[in-house]
Amino acid sequence: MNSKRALGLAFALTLAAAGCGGGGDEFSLPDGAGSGGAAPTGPAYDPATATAGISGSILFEGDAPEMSLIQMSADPYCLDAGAGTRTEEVLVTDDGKLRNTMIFIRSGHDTGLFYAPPAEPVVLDQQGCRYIPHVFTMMMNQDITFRNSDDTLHNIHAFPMENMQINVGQAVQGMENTDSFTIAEGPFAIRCDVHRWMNSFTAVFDHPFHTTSGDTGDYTISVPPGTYEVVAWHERYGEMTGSVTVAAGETAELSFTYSEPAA
Amino acid sequence: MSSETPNGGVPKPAIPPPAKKDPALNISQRGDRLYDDNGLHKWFAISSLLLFVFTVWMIVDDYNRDWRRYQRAFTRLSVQQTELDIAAAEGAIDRTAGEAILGELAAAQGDIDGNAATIAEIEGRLNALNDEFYSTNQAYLFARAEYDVERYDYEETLANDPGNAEPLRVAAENRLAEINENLEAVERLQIQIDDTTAELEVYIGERERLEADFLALRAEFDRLGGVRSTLDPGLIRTSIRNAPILDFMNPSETVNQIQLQNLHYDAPFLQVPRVDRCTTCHLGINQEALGEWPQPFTAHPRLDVFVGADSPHPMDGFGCTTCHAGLDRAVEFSRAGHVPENEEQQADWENRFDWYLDHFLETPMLPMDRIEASCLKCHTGAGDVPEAPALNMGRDLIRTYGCFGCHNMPGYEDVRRVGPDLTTIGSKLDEEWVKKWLADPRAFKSEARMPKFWFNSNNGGAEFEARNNAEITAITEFLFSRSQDNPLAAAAPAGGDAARGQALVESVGCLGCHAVGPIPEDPARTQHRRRFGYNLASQGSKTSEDWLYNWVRDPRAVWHDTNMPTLRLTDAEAADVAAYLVSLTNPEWETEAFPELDEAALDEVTLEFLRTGSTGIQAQEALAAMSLEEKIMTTGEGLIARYGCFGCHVIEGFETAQPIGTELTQPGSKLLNQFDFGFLDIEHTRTEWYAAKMADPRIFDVDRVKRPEELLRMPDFGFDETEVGAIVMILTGLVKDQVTPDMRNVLTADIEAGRGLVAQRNCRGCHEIEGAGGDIRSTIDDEGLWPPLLNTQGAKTQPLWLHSFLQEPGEETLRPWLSARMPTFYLDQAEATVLGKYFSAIDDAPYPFIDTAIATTDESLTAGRELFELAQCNLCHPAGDQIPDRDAADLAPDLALAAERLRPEWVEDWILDPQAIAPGTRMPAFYIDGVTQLPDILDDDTPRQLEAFRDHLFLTIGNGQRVADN
Repeated sequence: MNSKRALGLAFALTLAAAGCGGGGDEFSLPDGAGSGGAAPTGPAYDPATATAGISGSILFEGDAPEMSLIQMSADPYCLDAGAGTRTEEVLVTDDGKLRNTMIFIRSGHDTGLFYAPPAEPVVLDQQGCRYIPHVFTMMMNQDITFRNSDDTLHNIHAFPMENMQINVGQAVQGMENTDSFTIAEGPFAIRCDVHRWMNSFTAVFDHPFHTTSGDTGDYTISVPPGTYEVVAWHERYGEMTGSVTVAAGETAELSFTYSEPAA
Repeated sequence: MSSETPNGGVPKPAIPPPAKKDPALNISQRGDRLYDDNGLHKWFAISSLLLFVFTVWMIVDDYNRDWRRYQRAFTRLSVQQTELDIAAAEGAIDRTAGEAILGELAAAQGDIDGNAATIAEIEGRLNALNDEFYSTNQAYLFARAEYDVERYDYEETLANDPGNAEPLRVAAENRLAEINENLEAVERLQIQIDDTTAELEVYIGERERLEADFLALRAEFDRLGGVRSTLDPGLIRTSIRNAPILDFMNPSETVNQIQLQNLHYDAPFLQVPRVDRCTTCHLGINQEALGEWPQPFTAHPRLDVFVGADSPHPMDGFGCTTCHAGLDRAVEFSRAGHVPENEEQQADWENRFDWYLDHFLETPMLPMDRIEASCLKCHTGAGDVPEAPALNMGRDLIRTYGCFGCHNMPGYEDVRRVGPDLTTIGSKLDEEWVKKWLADPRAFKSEARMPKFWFNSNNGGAEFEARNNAEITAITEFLFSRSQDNPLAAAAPAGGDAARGQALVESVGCLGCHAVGPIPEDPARTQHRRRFGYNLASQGSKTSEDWLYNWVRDPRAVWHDTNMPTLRLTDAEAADVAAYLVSLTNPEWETEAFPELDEAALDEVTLEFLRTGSTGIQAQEALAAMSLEEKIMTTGEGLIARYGCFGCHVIEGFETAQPIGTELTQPGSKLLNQFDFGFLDIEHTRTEWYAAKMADPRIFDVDRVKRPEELLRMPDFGFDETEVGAIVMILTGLVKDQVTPDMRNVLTADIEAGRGLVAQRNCRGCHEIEGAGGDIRSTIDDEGLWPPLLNTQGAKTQPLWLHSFLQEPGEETLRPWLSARMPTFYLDQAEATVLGKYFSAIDDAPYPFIDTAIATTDESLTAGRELFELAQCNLCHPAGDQIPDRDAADLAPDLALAAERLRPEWVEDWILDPQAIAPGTRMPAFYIDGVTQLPDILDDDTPRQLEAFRDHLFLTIGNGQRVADN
């Protein structure tokens, strides 16, 4: 009679408890579980929003140290092809500006956006037993093409801290290899182990707001309006930072001044 | 049961049927029972109801235990993940190809329909043939069975009744003929069937192929569909499988357990095999794809080392609690012994899981920063354990500071005492220096390794000053009174130059084991191996230039048992180094004088020793009768025994004395009630006690009232917090848990022995081995001058070459232009063999017999020369006398030695991808993803080019052996 029904009820209850108890939303799959986890974060950055600019010069105070002639006797080819080459560590223009300085934004840009790397590769040429350019900047996942324009063996040995080291030998004139760095970091050196005087410096960024003072000692970076921490980096004199605020359509002036520290 | 039977004994009185209306007959009201039936019924009803409610509650509760909730959540997530995968697989199906196949399939079907009559005719024939084949085959099989019977009949009759055998033979032979006929018919039919099937295939084969192709296109999608329906067969089915009572059959929710017969859980008085149930909740622990899933489903972060089936510690063999500790068979969060990493996590756990610390659990789980302690259960040797930096640091500290001198510790039984031999102390030091040194070693040099026995927290007060000085004086004078002469081979030649000496010390390799003063921090690596040898600071304030000269020139001539190898310095170099070392002084130290002996204080100490075994009056009388000299000798000897100086130093008269410290064979399992926490206000755990003891070994004397000779004696080593942590890790890791020897067999004896020797000789001070070490690199800016990485040494070098190089590294120098050099360690044959076997074993390379003869062709040799010229190997690599004009740091090893030094197959691996073998090497890669960068040689064929490199290296440059052409 009653007990039979009660037993049935209890059975049903426990069934229900066993069947659908717990769970809820306590656990969920990690983000990107469906896409293999490699999805770009955030919406894409639109270069058209870079309506403001930062520009300036890298000034050098005092007399520039004299750069020494490079002793290239280790390789007869270089002795000939690179005759007269001087160290490129400190190069100052006639109007007192420091060449080969990196300028880049450290903070202030929208880090929530996805900045796509440029489609065109940066090219690092080896010519006359030196690297051209001596200092350059690039983006992560951007292709970098190493070219050997010399008729001798070079190797490109990059010494990043975060990325995998690259060490490629190029024995034949005209040879090209393409690689890329996948982690933003820098600056770091690229050297040739065969010709130890050959060096070049680069940094890898996760945004496009970086440049060098090139041959003129001047620079310009296009940015969206905002306030930025701007960094200048030189292989010998190190880092200087500055801050700048720009509105749309304007170009803010920010110069850095380096000098040879007292010995 | 009653003994009365229904038919016998006392008959039961007949009870008249009750008249319900008669109150006298109403049982409940009659009053002749001690209980009230109605009341009882109520209570019975209530208790039944309660029992029922609680039973239901119990079942509900039991079926909602945490682990079941986790398993349900895991299934749910797995289903979600599978659905995502299904969607991805669906997207990945090549629809264009699918459409194409479907189109072709329609066309094929059209052809089939057009030939329907023919196909039907062929199929008819095929069916008829199959029928006939069946019946014929049947007849054949029956005939064979009959033949077996008839043959046996014939054999039997032939044996027992030969006269009647002939008819049976004829019958059997007839049957054999029948069998052969049938077999032929069967074979003929099979041929016809094959032919007809092929005939049919012409018409329908295309369709079958297309159908298979179509299924292949969507195979992954279909497979995942199957996975999904297995994971989630529907609510009803799942509920029935997991319903109470029914779940004895095949529940999907189940307690998972790993039984470990060879690993034990130590219960009181018995050892039971471990039964790890952790995987009941940690369901994704061995699935690499679940690395990002929420806990408790997250995959183990190092499946390559642990848990993974291919790792050295697979889950089925080692379980979880072997390393993590905790209660193996618990499936509740707190009972399992989870321990939070920090207070924040503790608050979170208390909030989410009602977490509590089970105080009755002797082995709660180890926090992650102490988990390496568990390695010691199996890795019992004295060598380094890969990827356990803190543990290895602890072992290095124990080896460096010689804890085993006073405490019996497993694994260090045969290790030499760590301190210098004091039997010739007078030949090296003077008494004044020794007294000042004993009083405060770190005042002499901040990196002193000698611990401090006096002026510590329990004997540092002003009232101890005279006594301490008396004790120090007594010990020193006793040692010097026993000192024997140890004549030096030669005096230091004049003209030693300190600046040249400094350059040598900084470049020849001394700094792999030694440092000069405090070691600057290097974020890139630890440098504790540079404390292996004595710190070189202040040497000039300690001993003579003559002694230092003899020492660096030939350490073994000065002290035979030293660990110091020789760097084969020339006499001039040795003189420079001695001049440098003697120039390192501590002027402040030199100005201070050790206090005069206070005889009263000495008497007090002497009396303590005289009192043992005699009365106070006798002792006083004995003391009065002693000269100062006698008092000092008695006291010095007694104090050396009391403080156990012989644990680290060889002291005449104490060669066989027993160590004085507490045995440390299983300090990790020592019961808590055996620790004396004194009046110290710390948490009463083993870890805290050991940490306090290591930071200040006398700390537990605080607020205690003791006689001087009762005070704690362990000296102060001045360990910093990291070092304390590393040593405590070792102490808590040495536990009584027994691991059966076969669990340790995985670590082959070769590897264990090699790791032990590598640690004993501090090879890692200079070299990176098994991914650790190379501490000296912090002192060398130019990585071209770094000592070689030995990560693939076993696969790289030939066993014979390595053996002789280890014994005589000076015989043949690979890079003679480097100032750093491999020291001579005076390895004997057995030790060199241990290292050779070890390097081969970690690389799984053959040892000791290998074949280095090379089979080649003239074409390959020519190509090898071209490749060498194209890659310009000679720009960096010298070959014999031809040394490129470069800085020493830019030169690569001498290729002329390759043929007798390298294993041929390694050369190919190396050239193919140098960075894979030695990350950061200057050797450029000429093959990118296996594609050659050296064009137009041997058809750009990478394997052939690599062979050509090898052939040129071994046969043209070197004098390797060529396999004779047949």
